[in-house]
Amino acid sequence: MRSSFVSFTLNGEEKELLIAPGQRLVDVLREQCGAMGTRNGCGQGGCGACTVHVDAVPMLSCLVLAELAEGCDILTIEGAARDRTLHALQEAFVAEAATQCGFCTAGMIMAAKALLDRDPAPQREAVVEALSGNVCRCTGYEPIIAAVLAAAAMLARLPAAAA
Amino acid sequence: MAFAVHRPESVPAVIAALAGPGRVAVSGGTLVIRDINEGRSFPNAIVSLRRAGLSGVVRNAETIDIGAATPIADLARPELAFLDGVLRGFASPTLRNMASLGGNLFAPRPYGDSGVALLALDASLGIAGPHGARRMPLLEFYAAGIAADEIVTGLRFALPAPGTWRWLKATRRALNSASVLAIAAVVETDSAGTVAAARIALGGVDAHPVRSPAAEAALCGRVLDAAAASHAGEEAAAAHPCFADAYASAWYRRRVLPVHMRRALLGI
Ligand SMILES: Cc1cc2nc3c(=O)[nH]c(=O)nc-3n(C[C@H](O)[C@H](O)[C@H](O)COP(=O)(O)OP(=O)(O)OC[C@H]3O[C@@H](n4cnc5c(N)ncnc54)[C@H](O)[C@@H]3O)c2cc1C
Ligand code: FES
Ligand code: FES
Repeated sequence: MRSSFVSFTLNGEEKELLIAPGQRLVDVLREQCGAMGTRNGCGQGGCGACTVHVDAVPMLSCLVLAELAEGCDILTIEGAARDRTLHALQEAFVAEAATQCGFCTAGMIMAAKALLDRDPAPQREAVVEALSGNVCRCTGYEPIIAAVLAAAAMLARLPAAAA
Repeated sequence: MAFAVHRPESVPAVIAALAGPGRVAVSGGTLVIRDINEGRSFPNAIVSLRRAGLSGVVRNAETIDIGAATPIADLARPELAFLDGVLRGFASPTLRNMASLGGNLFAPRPYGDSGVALLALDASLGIAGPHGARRMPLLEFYAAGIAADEIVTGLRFALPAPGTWRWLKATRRALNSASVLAIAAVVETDSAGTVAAARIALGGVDAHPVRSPAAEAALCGRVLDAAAASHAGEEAAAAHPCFADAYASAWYRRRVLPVHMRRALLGI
């Protein structure tokens, strides 16, 4: 079976990659694109550590075939920061001590970012629901929920363009 | 594991691509790719349904048509507001962006939440295969299935009359949890509160979502109150085998079915 060329946009940058048949997006991002922030956790859709945005929609990259990402716009944790300035969610995760080992963090932030993109001032319940597919085995969920709410408050104080 | 990935852009192209050994249709991939990752499935080729024009919701005069590849998340729209409970109880928001309505019909128990809802709605399926297209009631699909070279193209149902829809999913956790039991119903009552007609579908009681004639018969002709609703649940518990899995024992499912039936039908 032959490899094929697949092109997509990764964090605003055009990519054209030679991809072996049946490769998962999570592996291509990590191993071919060097975007190691996205984690390969369970491979079952159960932990959310592999969450990335595909055309602005959060998806589990362990269940996405790279060949099906052809023409898509992909955003990973590496694309969350802009011009070396952390995204409010990243700032808040640091400030609220919402990360320990960090394995879940990229997925948590990408799931939370999808929520804030849609609902900039979420209620606590909406944060809990948005993160319900993301598992953290060390921090516990309260600091993570607090960080997302703090990030929403931070973004509300910023001029719209910076969000 | 290497396997070819096909991205056909029409239904006939999907059917053509599925011809041959070890070809698997993939919609959201939440079950297929998971099984490949787990080393439980070894396809020669997968055929993606995502670009075949099978996504979307169309409102007709009396009915709703939903493409089989439509992600569960895309069902969040005003005309389907009655399904909000089904959606919010279904996996996580991220998974709902991927999981398709058609794929849910093939999900192993205790999954199949939207199948339970669609059975209560008396949905029918559009099927396409090498010999053309046909329609089939969902009830028949669960009994007989479809051929390996066929696909489900879409689902159709009539919107339930206002106030007739009921839904409950009993789970171990509040969010993102497979069902202990799922109950969907369309219940029509007359002006005296007597049940004139009822379609009740259950998940968690058999190998796949089922209608419950026992519960329906127990309810019809009675005033819809707590005693009647619990009685319908008791009849259902006696009629369906129930099963044990990581979420609940068969005994537990039978034991709590009358309570959840009452809650589903009356909200109390
Ligand atoms: C973490 C997790 C949580 C989940 N939670 C729930 C839940 O709460 N409730 C629930 O009901 N399910 C749940 N599921 C199961 C699953 O995600 C859903 O049932 C989903 O709807 C399956 O659809 P899919 O498009 O992803 O299926 P796929 O993986 O694409 O396909 C599944 C099967 O259906 C076949 N198929 C798909 N579409 C068609 C078609 N149009 N015609 C013919 N065959 C077809 C495929 O060949 C395959 O055999 C969960 C799964 C995971 C991994
Ligand atoms: S690695 Fe994708 S959900 Fe766990
Ligand atoms: S910080 Fe370790 S898994 Fe969440």
